[in-house]
Amino acid sequence: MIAQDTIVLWNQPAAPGYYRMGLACATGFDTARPGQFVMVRTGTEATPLLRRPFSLLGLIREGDRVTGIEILFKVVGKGTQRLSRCREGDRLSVIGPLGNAFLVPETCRQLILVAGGVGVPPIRFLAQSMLEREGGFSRCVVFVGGRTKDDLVCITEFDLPGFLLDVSTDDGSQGNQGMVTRSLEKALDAGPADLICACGPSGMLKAVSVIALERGIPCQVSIEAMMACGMGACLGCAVKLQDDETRYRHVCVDGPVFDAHRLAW
Amino acid sequence: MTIPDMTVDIGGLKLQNPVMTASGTFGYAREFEHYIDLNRLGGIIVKGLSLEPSKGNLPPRIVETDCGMLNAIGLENVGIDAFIQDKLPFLKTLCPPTIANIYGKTVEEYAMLAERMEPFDAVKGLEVNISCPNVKEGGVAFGSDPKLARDVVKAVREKTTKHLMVKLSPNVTDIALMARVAADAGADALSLINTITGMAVDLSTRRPKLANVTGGLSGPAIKPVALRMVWQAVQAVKIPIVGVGGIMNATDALEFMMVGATAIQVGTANFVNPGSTMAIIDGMQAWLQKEGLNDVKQLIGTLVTN
Ligand SMILES: Cc1cc2nc3c(=O)[nH]c(=O)nc-3n(C[C@H](O)[C@H](O)[C@H](O)COP(=O)(O)OP(=O)(O)OC[C@H]3O[C@@H](n4cnc5c(N)ncnc54)[C@H](O)[C@@H]3O)c2cc1C
Ligand SMILES: Cc1cc2nc3c(=O)[nH]c(=O)nc-3n(C[C@H](O)[C@H](O)[C@H](O)COP(=O)(O)O)c2cc1C
Ligand code: FES
Repeated sequence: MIAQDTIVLWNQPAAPGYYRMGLACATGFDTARPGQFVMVRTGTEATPLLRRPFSLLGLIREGDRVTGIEILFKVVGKGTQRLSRCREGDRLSVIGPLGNAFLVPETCRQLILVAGGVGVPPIRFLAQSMLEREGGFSRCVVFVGGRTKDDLVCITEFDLPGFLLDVSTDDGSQGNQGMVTRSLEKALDAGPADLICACGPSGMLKAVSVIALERGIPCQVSIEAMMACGMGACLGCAVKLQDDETRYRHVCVDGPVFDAHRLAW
Repeated sequence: MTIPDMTVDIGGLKLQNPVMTASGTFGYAREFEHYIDLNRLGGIIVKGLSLEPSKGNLPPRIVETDCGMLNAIGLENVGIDAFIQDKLPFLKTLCPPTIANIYGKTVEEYAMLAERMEPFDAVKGLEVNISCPNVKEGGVAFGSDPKLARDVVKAVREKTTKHLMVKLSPNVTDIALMARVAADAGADALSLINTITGMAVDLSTRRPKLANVTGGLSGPAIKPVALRMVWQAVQAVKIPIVGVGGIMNATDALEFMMVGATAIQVGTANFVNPGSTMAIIDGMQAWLQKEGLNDVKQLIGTLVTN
């Protein structure tokens, strides 16, 4: 991981309140993996002061080389507002890739991905990287959920060969009506899975984790925490594991991807 | 043009330049090895250490505020034994002196920490964090009670031959008094300021933004307070003062030295830009050259007030 000045290649609205940004990076991301994140400085003034964490949505490649990264963000406050106003050619300081990644074992044949709201980025990156996998999967389903159809961002990105896309919205404005977890349960009742990987709001992740646990399915989730440094220095991003009361783990270095069954929800 | 002499002496401990890292913002240095040349630092102050490992406070532990941040990490740390075993071997390979920041819940704990650290030559100095509550005295912070502060510094002084820096809390009425107390009790240098107690509220949820309710404010927001307190401490004592608080760039660092600090520490800026310390060293050097000064020491305490 390194700190570098990147150049905004594009910054386009992806849905109401969501932006998809491409950043040219001179170096550093060749081995970046799905689940990893970057810390972005959203301006140069004293407010907002701290960098903001964003998961990698994907890598930009030219031939064999990785020349940039993509992120997808929702405007929720000062930092993301500033990012939303960035234009092609602007410079942004980025640190990354940081943190760990989803780990899909070679033996996994039936993979389930779940993305809720702004949890799409690492799941999209993961789905895409699975395409390169030799032998492929016997079943691969991506569940995407949002409150309304406006919260379904970049779902066409999941239009990948061999992947089945299952969309839910709370208000039924697109896809199934109801929580994404209901569709997930139905699918698991219909057939087994070797692994579930999920990212989204913590309530959804907890529900997914319970569903997976009931069925004895391994489950990896990418979680969020307030972060100041992103590199293990501030100890701000603490999270507790069920089986270890003696100390906290740190989302930026021990995560953001955790074994869902070990987290103390 | 000649390169200015950047060396300073903070009361028996020589630094190749005045730029150190503030405790709790730099981990145990290794966290930054990919980002900067650690060997260029003036000194490395590690995360606050206690006798036993400490797991720290419940999350959320940090929140950003205007021009700063609040933290309530709760002094999470690996404990002195794990520090010596796992962290010190790496620190030993670096040129800048390692300074161990220590804290206890009782005077005895501080003394035991100093005693335990004594045989390890790789630790060149101790920085005593007195901004924590004394459990025996009903939770009063050592750093806000002159008598408790004196007891702690004396107890540590008795157990250590290392350089002894006392880190003062800004949460006091009279910083000059606390500075004198620490100096008289045997400190070789004083560092200030630690974070200022603060609080942030989420109106919509009616909850404090930190699980601990209150936290310590750091970053650019506290620089004016830090400068004022360094100024007052400089007047109050003869031992060197190390300035800390909101130093984000070379200009900030130079201001602290002009006010009278012999060295400085960079804290929150490490989070914003892991390369801050390097930029500050380079920027200080460039400014000195521009001003025609060939020694950084010529700047210390040159503030014009008349
Ligand atoms: C590992 C990780 C990956 C993330 N990936 C993405 C992503 O791909 N796309 C995306 O849109 N967002 C992502 N986030 C969340 C994103 O970092 C926050 O939304 C962003 O920092 C808010 O900044 P702001 O200045 O706009 O909002 P602020 O004004 O700082 O805060 C607005 C609201 O956002 C919440 N918030 C602030 N910082 C964080 C944070 N670090 N984590 C969670 N909530 C926060 C605050 O509690 C507050 O309610 C991720 C967070 C983490 C920890
Ligand atoms: C996340 C965080 C953790 C800190 N931990 C410690 C600590 O363990 N011991 C200590 O003496 N000071 C600690 N501090 C205080 C800093 O060392 C420094 O005094 C303070 O942040 C002011 O400087 P700054 O504005 O440059 O950050 C911590 C500060 C922060 C932000
Ligand atoms: S964000 Fe600083 S330790 Fe994780």
